Amino acid sequence: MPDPSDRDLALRARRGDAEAFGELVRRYQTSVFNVCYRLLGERREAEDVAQEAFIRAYERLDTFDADLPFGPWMRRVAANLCLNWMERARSAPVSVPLDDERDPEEVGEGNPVSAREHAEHAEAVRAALLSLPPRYRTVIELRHFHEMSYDQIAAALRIPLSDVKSYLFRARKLLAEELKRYG
Amino acid sequence: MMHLDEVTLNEYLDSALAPEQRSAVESHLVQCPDCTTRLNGLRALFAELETLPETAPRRDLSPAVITALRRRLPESLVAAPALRAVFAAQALIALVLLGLALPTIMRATQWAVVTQLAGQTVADIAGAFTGVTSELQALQISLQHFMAASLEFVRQPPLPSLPMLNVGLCLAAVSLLWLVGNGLLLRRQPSSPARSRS
Repeated sequence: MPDPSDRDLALRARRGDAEAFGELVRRYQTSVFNVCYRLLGERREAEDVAQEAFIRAYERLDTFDADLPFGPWMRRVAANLCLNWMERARSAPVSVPLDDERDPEEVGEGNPVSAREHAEHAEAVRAALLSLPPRYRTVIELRHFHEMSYDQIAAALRIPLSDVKSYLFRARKLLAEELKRYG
Repeated sequence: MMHLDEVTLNEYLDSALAPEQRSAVESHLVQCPDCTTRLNGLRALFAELETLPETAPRRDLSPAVITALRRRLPESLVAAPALRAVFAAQALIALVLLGLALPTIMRATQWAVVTQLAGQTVADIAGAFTGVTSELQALQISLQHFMAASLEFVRQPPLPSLPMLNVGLCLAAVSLLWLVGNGLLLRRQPSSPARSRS
């Protein structure tokens, strides 16, 4: 018997089937976790917020159009939750992930030197992303990792189109400067 | 030569320019090494972001999410198909009973209003005749007798009888309580900020 489609699972979940929603969580937890990890920069926090994002999504399933793919909608819910999370914690300084928090998969296998370089580079990109103000970080996330258009970003964040353009432009400028500093 | 501004370069790489603007930018880039260098710098940044590796969470999030969802009792109740059918049947029965009780209540309300209006009319007419001459006093007394008799008739209507009215009111009250009770039980719970860790 073939695996149920995302659409079937979402419709069953909408009727209150928690197990069906659990299957959707298993399918999308990695991509949703990565949204949170890129935006928040700390693994445990990213896991907690990703979990909360799934619970929020379950509560809002009636707003999900089951004829559209579940993944992008779910990642958008997570990105919005992260933005709220970051803005609530704005007064707290953003901490760059420590070495012992680094993901072993990012270090990779094969040539240890190139693997280390690769991991360090990924770490530098993450740190540069985390140096951005929350809204800049979020538009970068939605444009580069969700491949959303300017209009879609404006609708998702409920901000004017002109803000999307200026946030993206400034965020990329800051990112380029940060990455230059990391060499 | 005028150079392309940063916003235009960003919009060009984001495919956010109209076709004619895009053509104009491409024509400019062919003859402007400075703008091409700046565009390539921006492209390199895009590439750096794209190479950021995806990483798996260290724990499976699904058990904790399912546990959190199941903890919401009312929504779990709604999830059970048999219970959903029971709730739907209850609501239907309550609505039917309310419908049956409605005519009795409306008639009772109508009679109460008629009674009140009739009482006011008697008082008004009596007041109007108070200052009239002695020749009219006899007529006034006769009229008052007539109105009092009419009022007595109105105050003791043939319908509805007291037991019928009570039954109607009871049915209405029970139906409303049933609907409100089920509504409260099945209402959506506000989201909890508490997070559970597996």
